[in-house]
Amino acid sequence: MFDVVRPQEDVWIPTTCGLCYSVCALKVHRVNGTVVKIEGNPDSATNRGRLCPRGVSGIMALYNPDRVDVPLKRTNPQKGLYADPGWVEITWEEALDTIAARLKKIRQEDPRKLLLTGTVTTQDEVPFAKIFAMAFGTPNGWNSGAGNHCGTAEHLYGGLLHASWAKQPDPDHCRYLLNFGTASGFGSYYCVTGMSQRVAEARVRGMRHVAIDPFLSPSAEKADEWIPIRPGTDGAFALAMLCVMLHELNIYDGEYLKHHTNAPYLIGEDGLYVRDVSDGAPLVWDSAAGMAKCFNAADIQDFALEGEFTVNDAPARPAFAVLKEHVKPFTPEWAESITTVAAATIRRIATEFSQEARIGSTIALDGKVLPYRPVAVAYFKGAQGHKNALLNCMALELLPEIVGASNVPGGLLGMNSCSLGYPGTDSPKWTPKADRDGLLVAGYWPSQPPPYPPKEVRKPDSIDLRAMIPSCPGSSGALPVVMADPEKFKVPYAIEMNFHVGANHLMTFADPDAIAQNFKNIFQASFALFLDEATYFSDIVLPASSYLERLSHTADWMASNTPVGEWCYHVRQPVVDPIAQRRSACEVILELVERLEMRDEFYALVNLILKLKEPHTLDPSRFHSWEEIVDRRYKSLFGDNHGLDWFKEHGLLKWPKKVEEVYWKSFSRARVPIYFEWFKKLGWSVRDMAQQMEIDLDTSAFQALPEWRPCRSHQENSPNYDLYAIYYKFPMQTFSGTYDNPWLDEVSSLDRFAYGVAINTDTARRKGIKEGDWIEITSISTAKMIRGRAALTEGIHPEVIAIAGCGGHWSKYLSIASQEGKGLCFEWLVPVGLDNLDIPSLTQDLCVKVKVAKAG
Amino acid sequence: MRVEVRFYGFVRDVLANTAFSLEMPAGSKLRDLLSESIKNSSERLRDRLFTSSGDLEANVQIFVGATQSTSLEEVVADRLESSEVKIFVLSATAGG
Repeated sequence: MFDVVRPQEDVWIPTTCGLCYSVCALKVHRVNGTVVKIEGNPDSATNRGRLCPRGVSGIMALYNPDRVDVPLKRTNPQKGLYADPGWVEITWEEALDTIAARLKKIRQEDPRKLLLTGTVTTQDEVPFAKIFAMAFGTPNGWNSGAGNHCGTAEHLYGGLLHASWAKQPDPDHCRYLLNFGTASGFGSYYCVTGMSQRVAEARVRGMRHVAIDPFLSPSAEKADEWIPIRPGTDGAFALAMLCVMLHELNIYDGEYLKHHTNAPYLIGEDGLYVRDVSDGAPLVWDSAAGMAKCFNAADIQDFALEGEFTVNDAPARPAFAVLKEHVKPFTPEWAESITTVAAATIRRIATEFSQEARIGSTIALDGKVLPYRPVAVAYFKGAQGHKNALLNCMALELLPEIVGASNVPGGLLGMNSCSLGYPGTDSPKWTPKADRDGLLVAGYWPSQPPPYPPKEVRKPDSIDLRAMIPSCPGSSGALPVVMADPEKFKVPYAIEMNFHVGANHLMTFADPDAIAQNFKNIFQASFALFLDEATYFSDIVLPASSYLERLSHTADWMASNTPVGEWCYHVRQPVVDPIAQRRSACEVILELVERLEMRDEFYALVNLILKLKEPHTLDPSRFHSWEEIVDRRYKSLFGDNHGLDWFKEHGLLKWPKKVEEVYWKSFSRARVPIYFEWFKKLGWSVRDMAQQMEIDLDTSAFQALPEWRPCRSHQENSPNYDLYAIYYKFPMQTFSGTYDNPWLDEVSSLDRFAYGVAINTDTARRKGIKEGDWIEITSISTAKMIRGRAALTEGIHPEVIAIAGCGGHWSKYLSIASQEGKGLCFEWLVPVGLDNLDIPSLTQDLCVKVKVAKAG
Repeated sequence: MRVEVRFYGFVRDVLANTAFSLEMPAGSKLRDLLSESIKNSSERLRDRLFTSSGDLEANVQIFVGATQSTSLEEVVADRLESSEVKIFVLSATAGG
């Protein structure tokens, strides 16, 4: 006897990946309710049908038996890195009652006592949680990427120079890519799979790729030339290039500098702009008229870039002249001893870069004749994750600016600085603007407001010093320092609760012991996929749905779209119903809003931030479901014909990018700084506030022009601690979040660098270390030791060891990731403290001196 | 002229009540309305709304009825579509 045979379900469902922040489009094959395969969606302009190993492995993230399936509460009141919380199952009702009661109490006392933590792989949930935090009344948030993953200072310059959170080389036209230690276009960074294809095509087309990197990393190994450099000295290399370009080659794009930067602005003896006495506008010198004029005067015939003039009875020089004189001492010979790169090599690279910029050439695109500057400079965490981040990045950023290779064909492009919107609705729309000094203001920024114009320096009112140091563009490295001792920083409250959306902050910032001190005495409610190390500090754990089980419209944002080609907006939709008791964080937040009776405030902020338009705004007189909000967001952006149902069926909406959007610089009146005058003024304000607050803060790095300054590690010279340890991103893993995936574990095990420690062959030999030996790495800064297997290679600077990703888990609830030998947790080596931060950007220094020895 | 004022966002620690009603003279500007709100509630609110030179902070957005205001010098009555003014003080919680 057999039952009637039911028709087999066999469907492919469009959605997006959530295993990193690139938001690749997927087609998920479901048979009889079970996901059996994940492929890239060829219709998407983002990844064009391709996926990385992580994307393919998502099926194992869905069905991993280590996943959290039910709400849990801890029974062990003692919290610690290795203290088993003693989880017991509870109902959703009990979990939400407990969390809501805590939130109510805090909101009544002082809402600032609430902290929101998240990460970029919960990119679709954290923005909604941020709206919740805002409506709740707290300014306190922390993305765990602020540690070893985020390009904090790099994002700042993205905002100041490119009106964008991130940037990429123009893959369609670039012919010479200088890559300072990033896997952008090769294995990580934004739009990873799409850019990897496009950069590969560019290399086939003939683009030269020069990698300047301490390690022959997965991206550097694909370069035409690899130049090993001492960690943390990229800025010195760039300064020497600027010196060669301006003093030996005399190559710069004068027309670009005159019309698109503040190079002609006159600088007084105090280092500030010389301003018009009546309206305060910065002055320039009109060479033809022989007089100073406001920068925006209509009758300027020629902007002077060099010379010295008398204005308002005082001497003044164009910013370009000041820059040129400033970089004169930074010769390749000067840089050689700092970077260990031969002066002749630096000189040659500067020459190749400058000449390939083809200053004066043009290209016609869509009938528009534009400057053609086919050179770009890429960098991210590697070059900027140092104590001298602001000044390092400034030197790197000036390279493309000096030759005019910024947001023009062939050059460095903001990742979607300008959006004119979907035809028919003109949404979403943002365009770069100019402030009253004529400088660029980003049209869109992921948090409020963009970094320029700078906010006034205030007394600390949040737990991360960002009110006092408003040049920090995103997550602040100061948070664990201030959180540990708010009184010292005159913060009038202490954090009492962490609303935790999927980050593993114990493993992704710095010394886990120091981070643990901050979280052991506060209440933590976590949305978690796994019981990772961060959940050891949780009081309640909620079973989070994975990206394959949840709905969202916010997976896409400005930096997820490819910088060229087509706009592409996707849906993230459940391909299976949430397994067991897992739930979407967004749905749970809506329920908490009801329990906290804050619907009116929350909906008002949702309407504002999601830009919901009539008749799709939320009505506080009734409850709106998450599905309804997603539908209203899509309709507000793309019209009534493109609501959630349309997106569920089609998966994505795309349209071609206009030349004016991609290469916006030629169409914009906004100028970008090559002289960062406001940094100087801001530094004075920060210094004064720090003195007033009696906070010991080194504000000397707030400079208008780049310098190279040593990191802590460059000055820690102990005979035994003779190597620099660096961290790098590995294409097989994302942060700490994927190490429990069996497919990624298998493929990582095939690569000796994935879980091992790269060390130079000669260096290893001197220390008696052989391939595969267990070695002990001890930090001079934290005195902590980590262990891993040596992977000998000639492809690494002899002073350096390199550690991939963020392995070395220890949670007993991660059956694969916590096995011995599954990578190393680099953070144990990195200290927490203001003296380990770049103060202007609050970037964490990841350059650390270590002792390396064969394990006994 | 009676105006309903509602504050949203990063203000709860400085305002006991985020919604209140104000009697404003005819011809009052938005700047006057905010000054009166500060007087009516807490001086600490001033720091959240204004720079030291009296400009609106970049993270503050004001709506008169359903329309976003672009200047503090706007006369409230000129724009008044309803009796409600909404003031949003946005906070930048975290980044990338």
